Amino acid sequence: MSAAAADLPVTRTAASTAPVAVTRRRRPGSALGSMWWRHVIGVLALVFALFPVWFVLIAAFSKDGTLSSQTLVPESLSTKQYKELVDNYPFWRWFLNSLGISLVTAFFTVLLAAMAAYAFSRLRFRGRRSGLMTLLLIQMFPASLAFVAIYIMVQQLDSTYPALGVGSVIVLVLFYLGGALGSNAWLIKGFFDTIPRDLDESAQIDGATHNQIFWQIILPLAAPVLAIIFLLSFIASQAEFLIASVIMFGEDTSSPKLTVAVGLRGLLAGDRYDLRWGPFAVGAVLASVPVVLLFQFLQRYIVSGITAGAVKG
Amino acid sequence: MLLGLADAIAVAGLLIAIDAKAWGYATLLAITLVVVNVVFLPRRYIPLKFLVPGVFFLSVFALYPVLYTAYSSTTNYGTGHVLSEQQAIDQIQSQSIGRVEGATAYDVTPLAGPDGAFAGYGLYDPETEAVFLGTTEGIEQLTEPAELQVLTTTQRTFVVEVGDLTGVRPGNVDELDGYPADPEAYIMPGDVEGSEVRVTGGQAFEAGPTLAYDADTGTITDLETGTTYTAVEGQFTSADGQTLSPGFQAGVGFSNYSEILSGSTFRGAFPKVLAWTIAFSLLSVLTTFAFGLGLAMVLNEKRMRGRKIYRSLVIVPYALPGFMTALVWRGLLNTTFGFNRWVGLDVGWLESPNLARFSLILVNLWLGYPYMFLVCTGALQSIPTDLKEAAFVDGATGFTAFRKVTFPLLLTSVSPLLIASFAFNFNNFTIVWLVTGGGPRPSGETAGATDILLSWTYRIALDAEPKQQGLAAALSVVIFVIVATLSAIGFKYTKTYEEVR
Repeated sequence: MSAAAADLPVTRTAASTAPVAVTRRRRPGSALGSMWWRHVIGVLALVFALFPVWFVLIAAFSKDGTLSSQTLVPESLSTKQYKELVDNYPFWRWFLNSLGISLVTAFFTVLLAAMAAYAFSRLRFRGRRSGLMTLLLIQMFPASLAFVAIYIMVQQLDSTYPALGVGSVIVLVLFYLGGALGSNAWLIKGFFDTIPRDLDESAQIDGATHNQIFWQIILPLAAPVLAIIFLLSFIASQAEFLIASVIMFGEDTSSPKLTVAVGLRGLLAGDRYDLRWGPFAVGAVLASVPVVLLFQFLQRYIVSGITAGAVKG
Repeated sequence: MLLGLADAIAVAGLLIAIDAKAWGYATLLAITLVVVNVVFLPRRYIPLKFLVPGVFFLSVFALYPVLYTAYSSTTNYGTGHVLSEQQAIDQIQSQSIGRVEGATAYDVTPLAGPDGAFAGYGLYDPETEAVFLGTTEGIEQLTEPAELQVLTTTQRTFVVEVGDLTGVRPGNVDELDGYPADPEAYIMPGDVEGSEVRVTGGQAFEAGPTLAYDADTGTITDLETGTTYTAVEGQFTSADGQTLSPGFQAGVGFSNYSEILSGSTFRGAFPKVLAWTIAFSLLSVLTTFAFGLGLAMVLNEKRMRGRKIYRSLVIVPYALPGFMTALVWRGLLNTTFGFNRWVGLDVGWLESPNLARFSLILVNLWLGYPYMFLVCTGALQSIPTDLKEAAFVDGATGFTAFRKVTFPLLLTSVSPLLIASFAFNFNNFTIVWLVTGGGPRPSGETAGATDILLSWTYRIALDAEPKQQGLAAALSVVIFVIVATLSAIGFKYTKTYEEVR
């Protein structure tokens, strides 16, 4: 079993290097020979890019879970580190917390930003331009700069309403939603602007209200950009560390209230973190799964979105 | 219907805020509640209907914290200064409870009721020879004749029986139902307001606060020594500098700001951290851009085999959550167990200041170049090929064509993103905190060699002893001002670029 299983992590690099070797062998000395240096750089870049990933994958499947026993080639495909992780830490609770927080945040971010974008794109009112400029200004100041205030507020809430105090996922989502407008509203507005106005005008003539136009005409047409905002917001809140750690301040790794980011960082806290390397590696690999899946699914959109100015951060 | 739900939530929030005495918050919520209802109930104000939900979250959960940060920066909130003044006075007084001078010393006997359960303490006053029953309710004199016995060992008076209550020998109290686990914490309120009777070692004394608060002068006086403590910057302090704990929150004006800019603890640290923050952001942008652009040009060759595979794999670092890979790098850079082990090196990647700075830039390069690679690939492909061909026709070499044609065009389209990247790295707390933790840090100092402003602020607020949230809030405001200045410059810069385009 172990022999077949050991092949698993190897396939990844095999897939990445094999075509290179094949290319070089098939067309030696042809005009494409001038490509060789591009391949050298490409392979070096791949080594640089994939080495840490390779490193953590091996640790996740290792038998001996310390950093000092980490090898460069996989020696086993053991689930021991996984057991170590779930036996000692409420990892799946963290995972579900993060997933829930990200889904709710992403959903409401899209909703709030799309509503604001509709107003900025389709309606004419006093303060429209200055409102847009204000949003642009505000998004330059990340919420993390107000973390001291968030800390004090949460501590005060904790003494009167523990359910909304330290470690509350509800409060975390609320603070994430504070950043829902800003660049998101701008991006969605840009997309709304490209939807021909004739559509809503004819609907208006037929007696549709703004509510109906928004929900039944504009939103369905803007589905692609809404999906992107949803995913970028999802990924951002999955990876957010500062605000989460401030709200969860004082909770240790035995607490089921943490997010994955705060929990895994807790695993590596202290001087002898090398001893908890194996469980950490498993957690890191599992925590990456939702983000990697979404990224694969949306790679095309994200790549084109970036050049249009969408920033993952 | 949605409005009703929103109203219910807002009212709940309002009640919570009032209960928590967060008046600023309560006012804000009340105003929004009124605005929301004015906007949504009548069929007018259509633009506002679409704007209010987002603006509500923006103002309550983004703008309010900013204003609150500014307010906190003028206070001394932090370790030992968390309570309000009244809470602090109450705590100081209850901690100061001691035996009142000249107070009666009662002899104590645990008493059992007719049901055999603990009924309270029998208190015998040797001077008046009266017997009292002391419970948590208070102390009352027992008028029934009591059977007393003087113990030969201690010379204390033991209450054998009074009324329907019987005395229990100290050795037998464990069998007594409801006997307090810690008799010294069994407090019997005394006759005088604020006084209480406590049990210590077989006797009970009337005790009261030895510190008295005078609301008129706002001072605390020690009843035994007569020392007066006056509130100075959130701490009751006597004339000769003695202080009472805990302190309380108090406004300290702009002293946090002067502490940052000229204070003794921070002298030298602030400029150093600021310089490294700027250097870190600049170097991060430059290295990721150079590496990303180089790689994009190498892989931007249609005749190259396997180009798609290269392209999808070199952006792997971008597809993984940054917090996770930052932590993985922390392990890789471990001196004893990390990367060093396989190449036979003994380099303390994270241990000496300059190497730690180098390592941090390297990790940020790894995390950041895929983004620049994607940006540059897109930008390179959007540059029309005839421009380059025209340059070649005019006799330009490959490098000249790049320098004079491709690069300026590229820069035009990516410069806003470079500025955004700079602003992002300026506050890139996650990578600093997870890779180096701001260290290496000389012991006794708050700022480490790789600390950027935000990670330094975080340590001062939450990770140092004493925690100084007021000071950290002032630092946050300073960062705000710096970011605003840099953004203003950046905006000006991008505008000129847009005009060129």
